[in-house]
Amino acid sequence: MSERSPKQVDRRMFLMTGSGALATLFAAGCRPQAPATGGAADKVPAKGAEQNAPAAQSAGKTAVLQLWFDIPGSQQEHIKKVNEKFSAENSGIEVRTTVVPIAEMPTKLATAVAGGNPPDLAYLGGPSLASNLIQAGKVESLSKYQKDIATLDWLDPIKRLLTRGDDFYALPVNSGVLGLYYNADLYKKADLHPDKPPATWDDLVKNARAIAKADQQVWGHYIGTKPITWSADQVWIAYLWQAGGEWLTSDEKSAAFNSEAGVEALKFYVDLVHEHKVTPLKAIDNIVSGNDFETGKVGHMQLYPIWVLRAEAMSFPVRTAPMPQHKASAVPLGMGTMPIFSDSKNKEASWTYLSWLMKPENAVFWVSGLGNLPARVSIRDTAAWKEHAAKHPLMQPFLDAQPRARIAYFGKGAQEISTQVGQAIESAVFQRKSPKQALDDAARAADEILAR
Amino acid sequence: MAVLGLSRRQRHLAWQALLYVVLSAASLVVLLPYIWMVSTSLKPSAEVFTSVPHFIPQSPRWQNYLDVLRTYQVGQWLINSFIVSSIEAAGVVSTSILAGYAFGRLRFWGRDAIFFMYLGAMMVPIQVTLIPSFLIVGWLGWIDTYEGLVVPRIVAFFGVFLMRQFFLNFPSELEDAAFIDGSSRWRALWQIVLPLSMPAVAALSIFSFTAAWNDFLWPLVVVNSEEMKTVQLGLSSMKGELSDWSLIMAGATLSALPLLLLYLVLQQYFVRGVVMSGLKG
Repeated sequence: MSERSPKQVDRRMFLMTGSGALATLFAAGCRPQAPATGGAADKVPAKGAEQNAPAAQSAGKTAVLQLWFDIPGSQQEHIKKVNEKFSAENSGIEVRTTVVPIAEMPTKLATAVAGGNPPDLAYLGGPSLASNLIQAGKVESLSKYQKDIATLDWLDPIKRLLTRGDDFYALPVNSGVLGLYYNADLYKKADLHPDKPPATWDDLVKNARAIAKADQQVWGHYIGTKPITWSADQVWIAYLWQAGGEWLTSDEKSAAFNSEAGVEALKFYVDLVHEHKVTPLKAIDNIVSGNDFETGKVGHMQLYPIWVLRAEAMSFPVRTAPMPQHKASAVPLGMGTMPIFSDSKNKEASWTYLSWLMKPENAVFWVSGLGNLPARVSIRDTAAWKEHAAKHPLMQPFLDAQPRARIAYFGKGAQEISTQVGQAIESAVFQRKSPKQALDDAARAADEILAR
Repeated sequence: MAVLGLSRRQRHLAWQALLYVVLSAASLVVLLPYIWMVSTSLKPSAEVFTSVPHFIPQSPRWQNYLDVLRTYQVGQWLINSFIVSSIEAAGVVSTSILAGYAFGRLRFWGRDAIFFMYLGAMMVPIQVTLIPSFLIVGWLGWIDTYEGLVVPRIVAFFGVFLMRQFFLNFPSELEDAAFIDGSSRWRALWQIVLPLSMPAVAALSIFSFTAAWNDFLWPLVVVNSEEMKTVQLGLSSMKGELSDWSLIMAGATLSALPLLLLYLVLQQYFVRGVVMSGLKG
């Protein structure tokens, strides 16, 4: 083997690397185009696979709708099935789903909307995004397509969220309510009746204490302690409302969560960890909560019905129940809504899709694979829902709690305020501040946000 | 002077042993997340979250790797990332060599002012330029294309800065000798300067490739389809409340392999480049 000087090796290596890069560049330039699925690609005629649906259909072409969705895995697969069913019944329209990471949906949507390239449809979890888009005038009024849509029997809080004047701005496709999941095996081991879940805060503490064995890492109850919005406006707010408190004052101009009721709710959290020792001192969010619960070492946790399908597959029997009550019984309402974007190139086809989803059998098909509840009251009386509910009895307690459900504040600065409250929860639970001091500090920050 | 009755050689050995213990512990801390990633990628889902965590899977499940490739488009995402990262790295290296050479070796009016503008641009976070860049890419019809992913990123101020620093320290006698022999500026760069700059070029290649491979925000806004996702974007979109973490970790392990290979191949150049350019990653 001949020897080469380092300089020769270097040069050869550089040339090889450069050639490789050029070859790759060439290959990329010659690649088949990725299917154009909306956005700016439509502005270039050569790439525009999408056309307005009626025009496309009349020309025998397929209109391709772009749907952004934020739940991966089996839920994503289910949505594909929904879309296939839709396309089978509506020739000429294809719906392509792209999963956008849930935490990044606001960033991606904000950029796409600002750049004039939104998708045709997007699945929006929670009230804030939908409300912001409606407020900014970036989504279509669905009342243009169906005059009476605002008067249908949507759950009242959702109807209020999506209605401005006579206009209704997004299709509610599912709902959810915070509820209690509990481990029936641990109930039996603690000599508790597995069919008698806690009905009040006192019951919850009593049962959790009976279950917890801190030395064996067995815990009685999980709460949300990670300083994120989920801990605040999806979980702790239930305890706040149940203690008789409110998030903001009635004019929504200042914080009200630092009231006596708020302090009581946060002290309840602190006591669960430090006095009753039924909750571990660690950062807990929805994922940690669910995953730890699945180990079989957690007595109760509170989550939304989307976890029902997973709970059914756990290695121990799981039961569900409405959230325990205190002075009041309100619980937060979750939801999924789907607007048509004002800059969509396929508005008619998008409406065809939404109106198809409004049919009861399709509405049930949508929620059945997601593990959610219907967004319309009358759906629960349909044969399709009854058949689904019979197969998934863990759903029923969530449905029972729906009449008590409320939407958390979703107006100006909602996310920032929730983050402040999330940080207050963490500060109090980790005993860096007293509950009162933590909430007062968060309230001051919230007032500044609201005053902007 | 004898300390604790040890000879000089024994003290040296003790010091070496202590050093190795500390470095091994530090390496373990750095490697622990990766070990956990690989370990989790081989666990059945039911074993991922157990009350007593364990590193070694009780029944290793290689099927997870097949499952993640079948369930998600991880193969396509890896190909996309490879294409994007290769072209982006090649682009960054090319533009950085030319601009760095100009800033480091040439004298022209306004050179330092322009360079300081470059430095200023380095301080502007991507979030500031996100929407303007998106608008331009949209106007060009490049949303959801390789062009849209790559072209806005083929000039990196950091790369220009790194190469300029390297060229500033390059011995001018070598270039002067070439000029005396009748070489043009371009030929001197290509045949004299560049072959001797391989450590810096290799370091920049690794930095650029790694940055492109790990980039998340730009692909997030510019990619609109599953087929065009890069591996980081794809992995992120696998995460959800109900995700199977063993599959996510299998995907993460697959995504780390190309970078590991790149580093192993170019390791010697990388270390020399970092030392010679006076920069750390």
